[in-house]
Amino acid sequence: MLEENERLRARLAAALTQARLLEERLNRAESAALELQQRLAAVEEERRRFAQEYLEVEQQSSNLANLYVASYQLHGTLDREDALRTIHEIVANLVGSEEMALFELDPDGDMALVSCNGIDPVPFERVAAGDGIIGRVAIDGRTHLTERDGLQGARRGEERLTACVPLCLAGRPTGVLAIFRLLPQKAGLGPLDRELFDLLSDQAAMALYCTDLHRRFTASRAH
Amino acid sequence: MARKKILVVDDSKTAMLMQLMILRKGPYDLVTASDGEEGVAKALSERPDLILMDLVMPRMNGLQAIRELRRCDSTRQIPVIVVSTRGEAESLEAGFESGCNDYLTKPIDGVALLAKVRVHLGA
Repeated sequence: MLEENERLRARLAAALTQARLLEERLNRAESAALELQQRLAAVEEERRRFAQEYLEVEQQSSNLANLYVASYQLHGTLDREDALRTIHEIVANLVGSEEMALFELDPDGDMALVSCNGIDPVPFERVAAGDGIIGRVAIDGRTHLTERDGLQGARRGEERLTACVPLCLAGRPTGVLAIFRLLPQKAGLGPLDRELFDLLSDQAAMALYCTDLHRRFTASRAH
Repeated sequence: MARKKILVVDDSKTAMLMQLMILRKGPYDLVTASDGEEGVAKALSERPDLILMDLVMPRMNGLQAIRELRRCDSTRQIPVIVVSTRGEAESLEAGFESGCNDYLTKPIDGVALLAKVRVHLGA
């Protein structure tokens, strides 16, 4: 009996020891699992941050592509009609408007309509310097954005103006690009559009000037 | 893995260049056409895996081209994404009725274009 009792006490002691060891292992495993969960959460957060940064870089890359394409196309031709068509395409495909008018300064100092798309040209065939928003931009050489500057002083037909961009050579206005209603899917102008306007202000003016020079040079050689 | 081939159909050189610049980032071979008629011919000869189609084009517009593609056995299954300035509901309806698989409006968002291309190419 006593021997049996001793044996059972020994077995109990061993079982209790094993239980204590198992409990310690369980506690260690739980700590390890918690640490892994925390590391997983940190990695997940880092993944989300990288994904967001990747999207931002992709967007910047897309914006730069827009500017590159606009510049490349403007200077990729010496033909005036091609240059005018390119300006139309930039406004339609990159800015998002199919209503535009392009003016150039004539010898009298007024703006003469040279090209338009999607609008009635009659009210805009000739715009006097200082007359309306287009005429004002032709003098002060400052881009007009209706969402920022309003429509004060607008002449007939300018109520639907979204933007008015001066075309400038060496800082002097040589023309104006008027952009009217945006496409329905375009909510409004963004930072990329303003960059495109800055680019058009310089590069469209230069492109039209170069194509004009080329035309005159070619014509003079023909005679 | 074989590279996927994309046919871009657009009469605007500016829009075409923009799409090519965006797509060149991916593992794609690119083929171009400048109107719907040329687009159908190139689809038959090149058998692209995906077509990006403008709508307003000379000679044959995008809707006519898509209907033509859906009539031919060899091009019927090629997915077509319309890429157009036309963003009105009527244009979207017309695009899908003619047989396009997806629709993207201009001005083109490069991130959105690549995402749609990846969806339809399974890449």
